[in-house]
Amino acid sequence: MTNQTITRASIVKIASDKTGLSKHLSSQMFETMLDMIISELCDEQSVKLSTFGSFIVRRKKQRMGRNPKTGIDAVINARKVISFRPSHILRMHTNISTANSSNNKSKTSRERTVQTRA
Amino acid sequence: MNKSDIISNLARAYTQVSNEVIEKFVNIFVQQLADAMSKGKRVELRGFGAFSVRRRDSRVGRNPRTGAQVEVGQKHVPFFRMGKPLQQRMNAKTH
Repeated sequence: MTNQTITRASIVKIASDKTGLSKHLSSQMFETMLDMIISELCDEQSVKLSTFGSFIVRRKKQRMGRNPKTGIDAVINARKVISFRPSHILRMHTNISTANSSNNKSKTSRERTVQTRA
Repeated sequence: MNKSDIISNLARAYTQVSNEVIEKFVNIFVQQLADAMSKGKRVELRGFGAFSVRRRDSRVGRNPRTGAQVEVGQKHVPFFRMGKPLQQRMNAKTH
């Protein structure tokens, strides 16, 4: 159950059902909304969604790293990344309900991550 | 940019839809993300990124003021990982 992944299709469907807008229009609006958020972040502006959290652009400096597969030293270029700061409300919610479900208790966060990426 | 900016921008782009409905639409989007994560589910938005919930094991921390050791219990925190297309688009201009 916890492995279930939600995609834009299911979000658009629910939004369409609840607002009464057509699927097509809902889907268009959804893409416009995401594009707006993306272009704002590309301009290095932060995006705040109250009760959910905020997206902030951070500049990472160039540093030395290593290819994890080969072990060879490599330069990691300066780059920009998005960091997501969840709101306290969201933190509270994720903590309560996932702590109650014993599904993943035996797994470490690392194992969970590997699993979701696979 | 915050949620009300998103709503007013969308309203400008979709004049055929009333402001109330647009506001509802944006709220549903945020609510869907929050609900899914509350249930420990993963949300993947191609081209943007993926939201997931990660477990943090319990650890011994310190009260920063007094230096006293305190046990910090296991918890689950929301996590966002940006998608590759966004990563590339963001870093294309800097070089």
